[in-house]
Amino acid sequence: MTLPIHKRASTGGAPAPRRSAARTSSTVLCALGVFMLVNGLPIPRDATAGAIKGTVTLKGTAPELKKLAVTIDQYVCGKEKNPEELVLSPQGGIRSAVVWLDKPPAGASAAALAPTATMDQKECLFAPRVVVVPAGGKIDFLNSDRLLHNLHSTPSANPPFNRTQPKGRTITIPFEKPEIIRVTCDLHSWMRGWVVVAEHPYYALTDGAGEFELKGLPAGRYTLKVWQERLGTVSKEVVVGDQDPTPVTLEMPAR
Amino acid sequence: MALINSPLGAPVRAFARIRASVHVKLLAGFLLITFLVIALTVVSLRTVAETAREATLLDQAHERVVWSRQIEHALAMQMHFTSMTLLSQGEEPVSLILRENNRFNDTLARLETAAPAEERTLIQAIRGAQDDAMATVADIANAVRDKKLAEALTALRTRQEPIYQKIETLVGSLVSAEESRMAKLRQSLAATRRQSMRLMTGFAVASVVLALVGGFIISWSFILPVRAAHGFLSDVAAGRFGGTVVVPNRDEFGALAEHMTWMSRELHRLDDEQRVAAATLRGLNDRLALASRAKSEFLANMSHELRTPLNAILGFTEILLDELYGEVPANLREPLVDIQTNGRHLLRLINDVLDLSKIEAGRLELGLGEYSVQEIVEVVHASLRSLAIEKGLAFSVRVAPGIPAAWGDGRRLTQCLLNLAGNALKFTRQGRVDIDVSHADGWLTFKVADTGIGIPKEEVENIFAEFRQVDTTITREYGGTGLGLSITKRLVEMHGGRIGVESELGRGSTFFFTVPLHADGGPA
Repeated sequence: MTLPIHKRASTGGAPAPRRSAARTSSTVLCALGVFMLVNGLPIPRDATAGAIKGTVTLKGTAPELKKLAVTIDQYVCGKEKNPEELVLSPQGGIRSAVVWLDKPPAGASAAALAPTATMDQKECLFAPRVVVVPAGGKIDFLNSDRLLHNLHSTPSANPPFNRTQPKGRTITIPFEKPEIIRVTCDLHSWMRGWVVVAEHPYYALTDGAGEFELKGLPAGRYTLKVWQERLGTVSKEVVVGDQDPTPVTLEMPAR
Repeated sequence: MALINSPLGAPVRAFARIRASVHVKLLAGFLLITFLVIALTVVSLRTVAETAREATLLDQAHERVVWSRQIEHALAMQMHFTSMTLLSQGEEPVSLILRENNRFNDTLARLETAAPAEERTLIQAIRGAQDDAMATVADIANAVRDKKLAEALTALRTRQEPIYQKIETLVGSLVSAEESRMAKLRQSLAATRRQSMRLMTGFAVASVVLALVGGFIISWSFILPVRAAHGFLSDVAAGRFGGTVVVPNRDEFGALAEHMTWMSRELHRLDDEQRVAAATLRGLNDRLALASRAKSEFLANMSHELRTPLNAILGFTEILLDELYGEVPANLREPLVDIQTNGRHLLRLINDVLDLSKIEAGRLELGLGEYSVQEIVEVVHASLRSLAIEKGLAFSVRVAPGIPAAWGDGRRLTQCLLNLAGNALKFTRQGRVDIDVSHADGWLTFKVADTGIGIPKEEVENIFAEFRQVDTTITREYGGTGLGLSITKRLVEMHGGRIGVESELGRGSTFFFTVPLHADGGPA
């Protein structure tokens, strides 16, 4: 068996204060997202079809994020975790932000999002941290750690779930209503995952550089929305015209 | 020369025979001891390290036992919380079960990391069972949340309990394995301690014994040759040459002994040579003495025999001059006076030779008796006054007042003073001659001072030898036998006194002799 303790120990930083994580985690949230399959979408034959290609960036000073101390199950989880609630590229691009059209164009045909996504739990972190799944889709929650995790979430529109998960067992959870759901683990308080249940196909997840692309858009004026777990939601008007793809930069103010 | 025995004779001699300098031997001895100490230190350090290692192993084993206990405890707690969950159906005991289960995993992981290889299999078995237990715990927890109590209870009884019992059994064997390992380690630790004690004691005893024996052997290997040399040198000092110093040493002491032996042989050889030479000389000396005595006796006899005819010649010459045989013609008187003068001179010479011969032959004896210094001086003065007047010299005598009657041979002492004063007058052309006699502390000092020709310094030592005058021309000018001073010296010495001279060439001389007031133990 591999020993993540040792691997993790070498990446360590300053120890953080202890938390009685196990006790306080009364609610669960383990979520999963669906990978957006933006790539490979067929370019619409429609002469009016266009695309938005842009970057989500941080405006202002990046907040200082402390490493998370791990006080339990170090043999799997390591001694500390990098904070992932805001991950920036060197150029300030924000990773794992979700961009979508506030109102999808009527009659437009974007490629449908994959109905099933996977969210694993590896070394006591949700991977990926954010998944997008279409409403009516499902997420397969996995556990690669040789210990118990406990998926826990109390969404507002979808039914809550609270499942104990040993290693190697897949728990599949369906999501019917569009919303952004937080998933936690009762046993490891630092674990956060987000499931974005998409209302329509025009959703995109930013990559490591903070870039995204929305395709299959007729020319017109749109309201773009972007959400990030720490920075909240920001809107921006975009006109899709002859230029293809339409470039856009979404700035999220630091807070 | 045999070595003085020492208690460890054989090793001492063997050590002495080693062909190395004292310096090297001492250094080697000290180094040997030092190496022993270093070896002792190394062994001690290794023992300490071994003990520390075993103690660490013991600690680790103990820690693993503690972890095993924790696992057992975690199991018990899981069972306990599972029961609670079933009773209360609440979320809180569920999370406690999960927590305990993960803690079990954590402890097991630590145990697996720390466990020795032979326990890995056991731990893998526990791990496998624990994987089952995790699934079961998850099922029970989820069943309780789904309100499926019957299902949960079944899972508890049919799955969880057997798994936990299995785990408990496995952990039990793990604990007993660790405990037997600990027992072995404790025994080994004790054995190491005992062994190190024995080793240390052995080393300490060996060091002490080696230091003592080594020191003893080394010091005796030095003491023995020194003693041998001491005995040998005592022999040499006592005059027993020719011995040898035999030492087994092949170091500086050996070289020294060889040198001493060589020196002794040389001394022996020189001693022999010197003895032979001395014997030869003694023989020669005896023969010389015999010859000398023969010569003296011959001279004494000869002188005596010569005097008889000479006395006849002098007697008849005197009778002729006294004209008892008739008137002597004027032209014969002068040759007759010459005959008489020369005859008397010849008689004096013969008398001197006779005296000296007697003295050398040991036949002269002093006629001891009481004498008056004053008388001696007066006799000498009277005898020589006419000569002084004839040469126009001042001639005075002075005798310290209050000299008591002396004991000795007055006639010979008179002869001595007469000799000195006569010489003084003879060798002084102008000026004066003074005789002075003084007395102090039982000794009489006779002094004769002149203003004559003096004596060169190099001649002063020889002036009292027989037939000696300053040079032959002097003999011709002043006459004399050259025996006077020699005879005087002998006579003074026979009285137990000494004679000497102080002189300055051309200015004059002062002869003096001292004799005891009472010579040769005479009456006080």
